[in-house]
Amino acid sequence: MVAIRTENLTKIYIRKHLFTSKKTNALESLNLEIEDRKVFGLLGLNGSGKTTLLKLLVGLLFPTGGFAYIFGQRVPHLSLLSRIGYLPEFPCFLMYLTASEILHFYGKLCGFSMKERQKRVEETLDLVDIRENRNDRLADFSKGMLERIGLAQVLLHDPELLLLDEPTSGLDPLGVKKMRQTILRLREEGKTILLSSHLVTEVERVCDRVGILHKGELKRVVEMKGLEGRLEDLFTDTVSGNV
Amino acid sequence: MKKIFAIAEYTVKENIRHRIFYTIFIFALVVIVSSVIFSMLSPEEETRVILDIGLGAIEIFAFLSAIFAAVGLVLGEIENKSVSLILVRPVRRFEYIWGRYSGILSISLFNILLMSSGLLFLLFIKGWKFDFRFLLAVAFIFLKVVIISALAILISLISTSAISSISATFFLWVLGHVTDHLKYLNHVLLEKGVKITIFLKAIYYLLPNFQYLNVKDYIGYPNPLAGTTIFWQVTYSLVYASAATWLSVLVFSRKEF
Repeated sequence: MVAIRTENLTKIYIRKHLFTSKKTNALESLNLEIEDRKVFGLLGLNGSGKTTLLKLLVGLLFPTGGFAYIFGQRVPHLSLLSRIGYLPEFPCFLMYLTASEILHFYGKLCGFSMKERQKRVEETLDLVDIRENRNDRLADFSKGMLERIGLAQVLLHDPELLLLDEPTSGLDPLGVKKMRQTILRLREEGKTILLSSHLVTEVERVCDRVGILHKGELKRVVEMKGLEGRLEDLFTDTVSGNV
Repeated sequence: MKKIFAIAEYTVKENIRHRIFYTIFIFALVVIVSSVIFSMLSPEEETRVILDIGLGAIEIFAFLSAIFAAVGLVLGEIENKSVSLILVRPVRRFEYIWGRYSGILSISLFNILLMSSGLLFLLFIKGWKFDFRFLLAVAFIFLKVVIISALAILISLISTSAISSISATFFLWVLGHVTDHLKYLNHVLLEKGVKITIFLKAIYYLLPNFQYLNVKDYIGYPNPLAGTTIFWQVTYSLVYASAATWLSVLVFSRKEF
């Protein structure tokens, strides 16, 4: 079954200045299909359109052209959002709340009852190993701990589809390893994962398929199983125009 | 409705943990209490002075608290992108705006009630004879906050910095107290042959008319407040604030994050 499908999805940013405007093609006629229960990696240099695609899928950005469908429903669709978990590259929270309070708040927005929320928050805090700091304000958290809260808010409502934007960005080696293990465990549980990264080694360790984005265009999709040669070479050749 | 309530609750929580909230609140109490000192300057009208300074202080500090909450929380959340983690959940954009707005109003109401209780306590100590219009005056201060909070959210969504949002809201607050002068200005201009009546009328109706809600000026004087006037004042405030909030929803619905 197809989890995500895009049809000529296009996004052009228009930055308006006083008398002029500048257009940037962030995504150009993207046609992509991602199977469910698989990990799909979006590989690209900075500014290649990875974050734009993820934001279009969750409705934070509006497409200039084309369509996107998740589980057969056209995006944006409110009911879809309870089936999606989104981790931005730099998750930001309002720092006056504690770890437990922010998760309870997100749980309320997902429509959980108090009992269910209590259970899920406890489970999620355990899962990301932050139980001891549950009553600490987020303002007192380190970057790594904030990343874990970021992951906790993704897992809180047990989504079928996870959209992870540079999930290992800014993490220390131990954090990177834990994140990798989490992604692999989620794949085992049958989740569909779309992750973006510019780190080839991370992508090739966890992904079933990889799409190489360059300057807003999907240059190629690579099946990791049976890939001959190194992904890194394929990637550098693709973005430098040698393939 | 549950989601609006959840966002409102979260707004209140955030606001009461903000240092500026306590600063404004303590400063307000200091001003209210210091009104006793000013009242000594006019011993025959002691309670009148305390009442005027006290209600004035409640209004100004309720305004400041609302403006900082609206600009600080809404614009702050947009600037630091934390709003995106709310919008990627099944939350409609109007629920976010109305939730934030309800939270700001709840905290403002709490502020106003607390400051008013302090003022009432002071007045009773000084032997003031209760006038029910005191309650009306407090209610109308809240109605002004209902309007200015809605405008502050709208301005926060349009402007790009906290300073410009606060300045623009402050400017509207001041203008809203002098809109009646526009009628006089129009009259003077017409006498000099300058015809910009339509323009001035448009500004007059677009700007909030805070002078229309200044019930506190009636306390202690014999002129009564008609029930129908109160009805229209309340209706005006609610319609104006709703229109501004729905306009905010419209602006926010088109925003990308």
